[in-house]
Amino acid sequence: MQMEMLPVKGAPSLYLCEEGVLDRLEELLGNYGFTRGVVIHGEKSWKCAQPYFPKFRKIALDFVPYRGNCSTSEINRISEICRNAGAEFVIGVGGGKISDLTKAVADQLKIDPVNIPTLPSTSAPWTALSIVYTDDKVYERTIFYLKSPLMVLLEPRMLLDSPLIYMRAGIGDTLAKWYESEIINRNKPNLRIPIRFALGTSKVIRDTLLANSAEAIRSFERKELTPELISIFEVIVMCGAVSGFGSENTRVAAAHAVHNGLTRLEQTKRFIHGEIVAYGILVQLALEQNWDEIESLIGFYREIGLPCSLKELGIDAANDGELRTVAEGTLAPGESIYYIDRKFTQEDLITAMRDLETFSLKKIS
Amino acid sequence: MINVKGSPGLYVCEEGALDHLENLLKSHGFKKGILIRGNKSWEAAAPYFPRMSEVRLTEVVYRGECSDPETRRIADIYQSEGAEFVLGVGGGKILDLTKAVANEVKGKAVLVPTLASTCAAWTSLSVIYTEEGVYERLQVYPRSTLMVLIEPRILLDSPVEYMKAGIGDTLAKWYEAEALTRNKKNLRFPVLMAMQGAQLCRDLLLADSAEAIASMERKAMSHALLNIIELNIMVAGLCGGFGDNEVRIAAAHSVHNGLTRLEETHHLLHGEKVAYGILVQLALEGQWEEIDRLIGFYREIGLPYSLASLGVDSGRGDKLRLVAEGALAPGESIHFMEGNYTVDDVVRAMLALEDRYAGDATAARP
Repeated sequence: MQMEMLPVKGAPSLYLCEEGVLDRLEELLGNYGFTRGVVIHGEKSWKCAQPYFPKFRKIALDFVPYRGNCSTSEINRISEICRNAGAEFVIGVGGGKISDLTKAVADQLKIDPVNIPTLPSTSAPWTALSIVYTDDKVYERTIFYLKSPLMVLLEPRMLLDSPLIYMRAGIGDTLAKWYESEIINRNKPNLRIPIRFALGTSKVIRDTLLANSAEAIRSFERKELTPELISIFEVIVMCGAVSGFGSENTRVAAAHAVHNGLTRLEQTKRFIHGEIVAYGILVQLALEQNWDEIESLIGFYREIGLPCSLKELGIDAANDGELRTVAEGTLAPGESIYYIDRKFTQEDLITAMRDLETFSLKKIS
Repeated sequence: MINVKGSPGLYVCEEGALDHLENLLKSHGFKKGILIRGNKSWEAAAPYFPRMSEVRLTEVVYRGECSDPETRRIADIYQSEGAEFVLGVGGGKILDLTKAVANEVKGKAVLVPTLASTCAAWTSLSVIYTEEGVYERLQVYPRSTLMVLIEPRILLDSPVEYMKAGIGDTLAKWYEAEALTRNKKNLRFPVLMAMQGAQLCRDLLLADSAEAIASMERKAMSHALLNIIELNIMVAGLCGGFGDNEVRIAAAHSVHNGLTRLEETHHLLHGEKVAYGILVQLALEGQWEEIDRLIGFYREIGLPYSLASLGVDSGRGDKLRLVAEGALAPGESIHFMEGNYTVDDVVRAMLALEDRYAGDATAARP
């Protein structure tokens, strides 16, 4: 029987999300017999985390500010510091880049990474991979690890202090999990169980996002931790389990390829990843003429403030040259749109974006 | 509070999975480890076990229990050998013992299951027994298992009654979790993930078990069998891994515990008794449509669905009361349910099941 290689790296050894979780940090680390470690943090992220970060009594900690990037040189620099400090674990306090950097350093030294996210925008704290950039902040490579981090600890009050745009973008990026994994697997027979679990999880993710995001954003704005808001924090971080279980079978598809195409235009530089991906979901749905779903998503996007038209992204739908640039980028060799078992042309993409524009503007007006 | 311990570090289930073993160990920098194995289970695994060229293994044959003294005995060997990991090849007890040893030495566990009757390969906990084999406690570990490698051909050759028992135990995930979460509001997202997994268990077990068992009987791998292996080991394990105490066991397992008070059920495996317990739980709630559906399934694959098929005489009221009293003992999981059930309720539920199904000509013991 033919079997595909399907390595599952589903979760950290321990994940906790609760107010006051960091009060237990030293005790939790003590469970592993640790005596000394290093904390990697950013400037802003440390300001955000400090009020919740406990004083340690027995375990020795060194604090190392990162230099704003998860690059090979930064990984090497901090690994050297950790080696000299005799670190048995490394804690990353910050956003996605710090999580990625922490995992990379831990992997290099064969010690354990612990991630404490300060932004509800990415599943980087959870996943068994890092995205590495050059010193000029251009994408360089993705490192895949043999396991997920040791611990992921969410202090929800800390995430409440972050700027709202990150959570909103996180919602867009996370929503794509369902639409992208569903389209890739729709026609495949005999899906393996880990893939089915990943697909089922991405459906729960979509349902939770659609049901709770609006209330979560309202709670976020009045700085109140409601069950809806906590569910959105958890969904954004834990959606790492979708690729953790489904491996490459439940990664990205057209929505992310459209994102990559759109980043070729200067206008989109002021938007963050998840906002552009959110628009990409609509283009993917337009490519398959699923206007009912588009209509319901437009209602959702309007309610929570995600872009549903080129106009909102600052792009003129009548500009042939720009749309062609986006279509070319979307269809560049190696793009994730090719995981879909249908061939799309540049014309298909341009038509989809134009039809979507007409549809969206009519709904908005 | 929910402790999510969702997954081992790496899980691979495929033909030839063990061929990757040495490279995987080397990528963790390991050179020396302890291999814990049994005798029978080793016979099943040996044909697929690779010859290692660089990583050295010290073999330890376990003495039949996952107990504290056995854990310490092997931990001592680990330390005197200067080992860097513990590899366990076997059924649930060997895997539990391997995790216990790894925890004792603060090392890493690598597991290769030879039975698909339990999710022990997935979960980061052990059931600890005394040396005499009496249940002592459940021990939960801070570190999940480093690697789980499943060679499905080993499980293809495993005894089919263990596969069936695993099906019964895994099927309970949905019925017990559903009964406990039904009326709860604002379930946390990890709990929803677990519920989704539990439902996947029920749906696919009902769809694929018969074919999986048929393929075991004709010794040919199939997608259906692979599905059942992964449901019994992985999904059953991740339900508790993600859902923690929110998706724990309910009446079905209490009925199992009650049944163990009768000598005549001792020849049955855990999951077989749990399978019957599911029916009693549903009968307590009056869910007869669901029971009808399950009876067909139990008959098809040979799980016990009546006292007669368990080998218990339903005419002996005293024995039924003994089972019901056991099921309702203080601290039993049946009390997590909302029904406030009495001994009479449980006895009545068992008798109602018996009335409805045991008279059937096909009610032979599985």
